[in-house]
This record gives sequence, structure tokens and C-alpha cells, in this order.
Amino acid sequence: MVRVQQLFLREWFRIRESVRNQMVNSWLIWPVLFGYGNGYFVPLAAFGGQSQLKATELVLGMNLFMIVVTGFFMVLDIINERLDTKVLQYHISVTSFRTTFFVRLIFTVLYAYILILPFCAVVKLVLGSWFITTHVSWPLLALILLLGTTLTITYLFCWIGILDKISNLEHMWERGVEPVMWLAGVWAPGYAIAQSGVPGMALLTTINPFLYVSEAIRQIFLPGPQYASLATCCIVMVSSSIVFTLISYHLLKHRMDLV
Amino acid sequence: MNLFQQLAIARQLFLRECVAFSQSWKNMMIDNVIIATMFSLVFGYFMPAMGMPLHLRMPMFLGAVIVFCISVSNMVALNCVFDITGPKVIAYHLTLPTRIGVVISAFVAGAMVRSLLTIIPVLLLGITIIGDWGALDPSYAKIMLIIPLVAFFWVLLFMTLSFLLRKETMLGDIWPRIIMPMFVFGCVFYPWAAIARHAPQTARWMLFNPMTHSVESIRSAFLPAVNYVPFALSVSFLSICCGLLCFALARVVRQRLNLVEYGKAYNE
Repeated sequence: MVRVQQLFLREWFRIRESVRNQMVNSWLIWPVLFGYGNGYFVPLAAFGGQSQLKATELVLGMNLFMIVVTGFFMVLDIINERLDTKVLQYHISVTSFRTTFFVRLIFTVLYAYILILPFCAVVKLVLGSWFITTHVSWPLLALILLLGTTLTITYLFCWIGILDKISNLEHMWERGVEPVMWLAGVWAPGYAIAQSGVPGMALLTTINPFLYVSEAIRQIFLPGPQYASLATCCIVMVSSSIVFTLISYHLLKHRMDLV
Repeated sequence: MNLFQQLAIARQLFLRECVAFSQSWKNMMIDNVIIATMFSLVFGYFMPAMGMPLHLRMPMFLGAVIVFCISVSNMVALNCVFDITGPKVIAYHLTLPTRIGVVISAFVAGAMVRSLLTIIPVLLLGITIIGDWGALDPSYAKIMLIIPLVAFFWVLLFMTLSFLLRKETMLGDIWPRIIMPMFVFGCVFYPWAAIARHAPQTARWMLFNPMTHSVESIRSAFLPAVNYVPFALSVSFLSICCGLLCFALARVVRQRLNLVEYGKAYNE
């Protein structure tokens, strides 16, 4: 327990100087920007003046974008410590792989979760009645955001094990993260992707676990049959998180060649 | 040092940039093809399935193309940042028997070539995927003028920021505090005319944003230019911005790399 506590304290020490900056960015700047961009200007231009429903749909997809981008920047530090400074290897040598892995995972999930939690509330302050919140259950939203953050971080942890050079980081984002995100309802929801007429898109989005994050968030704000049910979304998110955790655990252990 | 010497040095520096680019070009194109495909699918098919009018497909995609230009410029800027705070190869280049402006011009020219070789294939690919050739009404004269001008502007902007700002700011805060506000209020994912119709006051303020002029002029060059910010206005605005940035870049490079007078490079 002492080693776990020390690892958590060390994580806090690593991020403490940037916490205020991160909070200003995540709690204030990003929600205001996405609120105006995807919540006002884009729906105004694309769907006209009476488009609160479309505006709400579009801006809710940015939740997933925020989760993925926030998680990515956090995972960058871990990748750097694995491939460049080798601090991760040092921590494993003085504790154990399991301890280090789960401390990193839990801390990253919690920190990312805290950063993205107020997103919808701030968007509501910015957009007012333009952002429909009539049916929303805020505690349920908090739970879905936690599940979505866990899914994203565990997926990104798989990439920590896959990457072998820092120089491949850009390719990790462009090939492994961004396409998954774009096809997961960040812009258009799942029903629009399925109805788009592009061959194979319906299947591709159905098997993309990140789609269920955006579907769940949209279901909470705009309940209806056009989105996947909350139960389905939660099952997919939980089971995918478990799978990604197992994959990342064994992949990283194998890559780091630990005896 | 005579003119021929300076040109020879500039040529060598430019070739160096091109060689560096050629080593990463294939990987970069694979990445760009993936992202261009995503943009084309989202704006060409998914958004229309939500109810967006079909005539907005091409304007939205053309606006999104600016992302690639900015991405290349950002990469160039980060290379500058890591060089200034690391091996300081640029400090060696400044000891060459030529003016500082020649060195910087060679870097800017190399970055512009990267931008152009990124934007053009992405444009063609995206238009092919969307398949809305009938919506296009390209003016080749406008295209040949505006795409290099837009690339030039963004390279200058990012290089100026890379010499002006600290490394931590360039790696973290520049996007939420400088670039993304320019995106959101810069008509990247929506045409300016639509905002002018519904929120005219806001649209007027958007005209002070160089991003607005970058995307609207690209749209105007490829599409029937009836609903976009006047091309001449955009070109004039961007040209003035480029002139100011050239002056600013020369100044910040001298301040940042003047090892005797300021010593900032050694304090990184």
C-alpha cells in the first residue's frame, strides 16, 4: 500500500504544475469554443435558425472528442517515460509491473474524468436554451462520462504497448485514434452514419466501441429510438474497457520484456 | 558576401529542407489520405444524412482542408522549438556567410513546399470521394494565387509563434488559446454568408480573423464565387498580414537567437 501511495503521490507531483492550466483549458476554453462552434455556428449554417435539436446533437459529439484528446495528451507523458526517459521501467523495478500499470491507469482515468466532467454544464451556460437539457439526468451523465473515459484511456494504453519509437507518435494519432473517433459519432450520430449510404459504414460503426460513448451521451440528452439504448452502450463500454485493459496489460508486459 | 554566394547558401538550405521532407513524405501522405477520407465522409455523406443541404458539402470540405495546412505549419514550428531548445542547428546556420533573412527565407520556402505538396493531393482526393464535381467552378488563376498565399501566411504565423513563445506554450496552450479560437470564429466548418444572414454583427467581427479570409478565399477559388467574402478583400488582408508577419518574424528571430545581447536560447 505504501508503494501504491507513493506512486500516486508521484503522479500528482508530475502534473501539479500544469493542473491550473489544464483546468482553464478543459473547464473553460474548450467548452466555450465547442459550444459556439459546433453548438451554434455550424448548426446555424447547416440547418438554419430553428435547429436547437441538431445543435444539441452536434455539440454532444464533442464530449467524445474532448475525452479522446484529453486522454491522448495524458498518455503522451507515459509514452515518453516508457520510450525516452525510462522512468516507467524504473518504477516497475522498485515496485511491480502490476502495481505500476494499475496506478498509472487509475490515475490517468480519474484525472481525465475530472477534466472533462464539467464540459456539458459549461456548454449549457454558454448556449442557454439553444442547448436542450430538458430530459438530462446529470448523475447518469457523470456515470457515462466515467465509463467513456475508462474506455478511451484503456484503448490508449494499448497504444503505449504498440508504439516502439517516439517518432511514431504522430502516426498513432492519425491512424489509430483519429479515424476511430471520426467514425464514432463525434460529428454525425450513428443513425446518420448508417443512413449515409457509404458501403460498410453501418457495420464499421456498429463494431466501433467508441460509438456507444457518443450514443449514450446523446440518449441521455435526447432520449429516443434513434440512438442505441443506454443498457447496450454501458455493456459495450464496460466489456470493451475490460478487453482493452487485458490487451494493454499483456502487450506492455511483453514489450517491456519483464521476467 | 555577394548575391551569388547568398543564393547558393539559400539553395543548399532549401534543398536540405526538401531532403528532410522527402524522408517522411510517404508516411505523411498515408496519414493525410486517412484524415482526408474522414473529412470527406463526414461532410460529404454523414452530415447530409443528418439533414444538411447538399450544396454545403463542398464548402465545408474545402474549409476543412485548411486543417492540413495548419498541421504542416505546426510541425515546422515544433521542429523550430525543439531545435532552439535542443541541438540549436539554426544557430549554426546563422553563422553561415549570409543574411539572417536568407536563412529564414529558405526555411519558410521549404515549409511552403511541404504545405503545397500536402494540400493539393488532399484536395483532389476529397473532391473525388465526395464526387460533387458539378458544384465546382474553379478559377485556376485564383487557385494558383491563393493556395501559396494561404500556405505562406500560416507558415509565417507558426514560425513567428515558435520563436516568440515558450516551449511549453507551443506544446500545450497554443491550440486552445490561439489556434482553436481562430478556427471556431474563422468560418472553417461553415460558410461566412450563413452567419452573415443570421448574425450580421458577429459576421463582421469574423472578417478581422485571417482564418476567415483563408478559407473563404479557397472556397471562392473552387466554387461559384457568389456567396463568399470577396476574393480581392481576402487576398489584400492576407497579404498585409504576411507583410506584418515577415517583419515580426525577423524581429523575434533576432531577439530569440541573439546570444550576446539576450541570451534567451541558453536559458531554455
